[in-house]
Amino acid sequence: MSEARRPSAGKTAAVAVPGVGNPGTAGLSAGRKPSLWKRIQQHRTLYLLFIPVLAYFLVFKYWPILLAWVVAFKELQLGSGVFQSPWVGLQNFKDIFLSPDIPNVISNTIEISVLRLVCGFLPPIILAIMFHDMATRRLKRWLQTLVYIPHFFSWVIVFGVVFGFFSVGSGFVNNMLAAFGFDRHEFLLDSSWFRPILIGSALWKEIGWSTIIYLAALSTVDAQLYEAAVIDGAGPLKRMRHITFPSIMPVVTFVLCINLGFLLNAGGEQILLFYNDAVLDKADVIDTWVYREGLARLQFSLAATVGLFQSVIGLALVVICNYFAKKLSGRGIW
Amino acid sequence: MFRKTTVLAISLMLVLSLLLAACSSGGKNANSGGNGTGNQAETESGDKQGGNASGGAEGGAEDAVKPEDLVFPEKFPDVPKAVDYDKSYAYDDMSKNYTIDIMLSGFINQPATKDMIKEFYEKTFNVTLKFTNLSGEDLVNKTNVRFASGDAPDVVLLGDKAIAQALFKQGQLLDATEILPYMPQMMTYVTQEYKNWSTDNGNMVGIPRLPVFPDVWGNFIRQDWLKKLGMEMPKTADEVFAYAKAVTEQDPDGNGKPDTYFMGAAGAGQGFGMMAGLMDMFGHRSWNVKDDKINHPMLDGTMKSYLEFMKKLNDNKLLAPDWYTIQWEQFKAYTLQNKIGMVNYPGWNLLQEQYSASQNDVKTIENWAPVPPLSAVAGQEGLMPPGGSPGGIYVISKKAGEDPGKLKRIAHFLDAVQYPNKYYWVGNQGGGSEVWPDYTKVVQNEDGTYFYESDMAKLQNEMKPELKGMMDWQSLGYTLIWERHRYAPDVPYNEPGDKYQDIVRAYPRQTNYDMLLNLDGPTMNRLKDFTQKNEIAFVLGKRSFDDWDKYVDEWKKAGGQKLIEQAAEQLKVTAP
Repeated sequence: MSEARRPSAGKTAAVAVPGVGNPGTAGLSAGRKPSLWKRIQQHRTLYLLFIPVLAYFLVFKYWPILLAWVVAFKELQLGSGVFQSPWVGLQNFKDIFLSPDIPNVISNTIEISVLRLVCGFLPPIILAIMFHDMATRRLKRWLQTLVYIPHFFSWVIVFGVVFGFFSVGSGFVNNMLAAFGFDRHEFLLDSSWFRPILIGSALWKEIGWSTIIYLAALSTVDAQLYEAAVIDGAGPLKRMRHITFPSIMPVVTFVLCINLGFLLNAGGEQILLFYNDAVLDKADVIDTWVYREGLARLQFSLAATVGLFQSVIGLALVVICNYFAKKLSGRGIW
Repeated sequence: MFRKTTVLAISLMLVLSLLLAACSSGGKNANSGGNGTGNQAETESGDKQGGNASGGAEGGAEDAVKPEDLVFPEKFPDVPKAVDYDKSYAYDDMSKNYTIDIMLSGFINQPATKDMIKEFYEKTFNVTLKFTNLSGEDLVNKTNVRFASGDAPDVVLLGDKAIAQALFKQGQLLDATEILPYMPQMMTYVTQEYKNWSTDNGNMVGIPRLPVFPDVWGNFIRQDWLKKLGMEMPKTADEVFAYAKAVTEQDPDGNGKPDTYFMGAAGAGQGFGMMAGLMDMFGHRSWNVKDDKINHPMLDGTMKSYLEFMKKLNDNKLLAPDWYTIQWEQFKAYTLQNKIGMVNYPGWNLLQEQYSASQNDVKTIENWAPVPPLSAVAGQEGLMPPGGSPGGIYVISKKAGEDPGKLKRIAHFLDAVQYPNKYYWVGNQGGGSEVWPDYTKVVQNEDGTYFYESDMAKLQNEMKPELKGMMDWQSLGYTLIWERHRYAPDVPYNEPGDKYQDIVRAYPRQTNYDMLLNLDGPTMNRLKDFTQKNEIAFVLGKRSFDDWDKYVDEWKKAGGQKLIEQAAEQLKVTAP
């Protein structure tokens, strides 16, 4: 048994080498790096365990991506299927970019996404730090539960809540306005209010849930660092600046990069439920346009083309963000 | 060693289960689609491969009318009669069980946990039914996805002809003339006009469905409020506005609160809903012919006048709170709580709902009366909107048609549930006497029409929330064209309700040119998005009426001009 375990330990060491700065070991192992096949043979049980995962991703993730890419260059005929449908070159891209709606749709998408990013990025971090610093455990748990709950509401429910707040007839906000002698306002028909309501309700729904990843990162910070900082006379703000933030910075970078990848996905499901004709000019985003044009009007090739466009832009943004993150902080997601 | 073997075994099991999951899912899709390529037979309980399984069916096929020999009637029968059931469906020997996959948009749109109507149909027609009931928009999306993924349903009842046209163009649908020879009851009402409506490029893309509410929607006004306000029944747009102002500002319900309003769209933020009826005051609401030229409300000022009127109502705060974004059911609550002065509704339903909401106060029946057609110009005859439109279109997937035996069963089933065929009443209002024998019955009137009657209290008691989805079978064939209600003191709304429906139906109407047109579906859809967002912008004052000519030009560029030319060509008139 002990002999059987020994190579395992060796393997673990070998796997760990390229990871984090151990130049001496890395240099040694680089010189004698076994071939890929040998490494596969060496770790065959691990690779065997990985096969279901690989199969899952190939069948359910990469194959559909490939199909969508093919469809973007074809005119999909329902009866013919993807591969029998005729190639149309860049016609779908032309159709999209020559559509009179598209400039407004793309600008709405970017504006709403940036707003989501700006308004939705910091609050969960701040909330997570507040939870982390909270002394009363029971209160902390109770508050955490309270802010997690909206995450489990569907957007239909959230829209019901929003309608209950902002409707003219019996909405809470309008009732308050009326109580203070102001005129009632048609918030839901006012395009200048659409985005604040959209972002605000999304923040309310997801802020609690988004704290989880930061709380996990915060839980790994060594408590002794804080104790030492207190002894050294650091106040709460200094402790936050010099310990808390640097400790969770890798996670923050990771979340920012991932979020940037979704810059052209402005939250179509929520907008579909929230928008109406009166605010369409400020609300129509790529996802809602695809929903109407692609799904409801059988133009699947257009939908696939837009999907491809979103993916390429998203990937580019992630790569750029990762590059700058590494450049500025020395940390990236790869 | 033992650990490695275990890991190996677990890995293999995981791979195997993943593959099995993927394969079984695909298999299910292939079967449920019933694609008629030979695999179809394996999904049925019968033992023959595809094709006509039964001799009876084959015999029937020989006797059936050929598609080109179908005779479409000129008009609906005055009082339809049920066809000779046994003789009419002799082509279907019923020996084999088929799976029929039906999708439609219902009133409830949720599955029923124990669907007795479905059970009855399955037993009676020897079929296994897959019933999907969704809201209108979801139905379109789900239908498109199912066709796109090769998992086409057999029958879909669509509200929008453009979707049927698009699916037909993609080679997904059966020409309706291939199934109609097996549907003698349908053929009593698929008129030449209906046939023309459902024909696109020489192909009948589906079977038109009879409307549920046949031209009985009208503007209804509060009689008691008119009296209290000392006003006459309005006849012109100005008089309507005066009434709207009085209703909102003069507290007709006398509760001392400013909580009464003229009207609301109740369209959930998508168009003007029930307020669209006010456009008829100003002209024809759709495509029409004027001086031998094609005309449209965008071209002759009808739309502009209507939107200006709507803006005036909105600016004066005469519309209900959230009038544009509110949904139908929420707005109904305002109406039934006596907050609304005018609604666009079918008369019988309005009286029945008001009576129920008032805890059976018989006086409330007198609250409402239909408004005769209005006109913007004093002394000019008003017209109701164009009538006679179908209530949707049944489409049959091409795959369903590849098995002649199955196609005949679908024809048999769909035909048998049309008015007033043998099984028409089974799916009505949550179940006929076949389902609820203790308290529902169907009675024939002296003139040959029928009425359906149920003990509402008992039915509502039995119809638990989890069974409400059964109501959606009603969408399959329900029509009120020939149905009358029972007149008795315990249902005091029936007689005036029927009377109001007759009155509204008898009002003079605009000519329905849409029945003669087959315009480009995608362009129409795109224009709908364009006009809806602009129309509300004009009403809310976000866009000035000084821009009107520019807006008309934009409309033409967005597809309006294309449709003008198409409509002119199809109606054989000139374009302006």
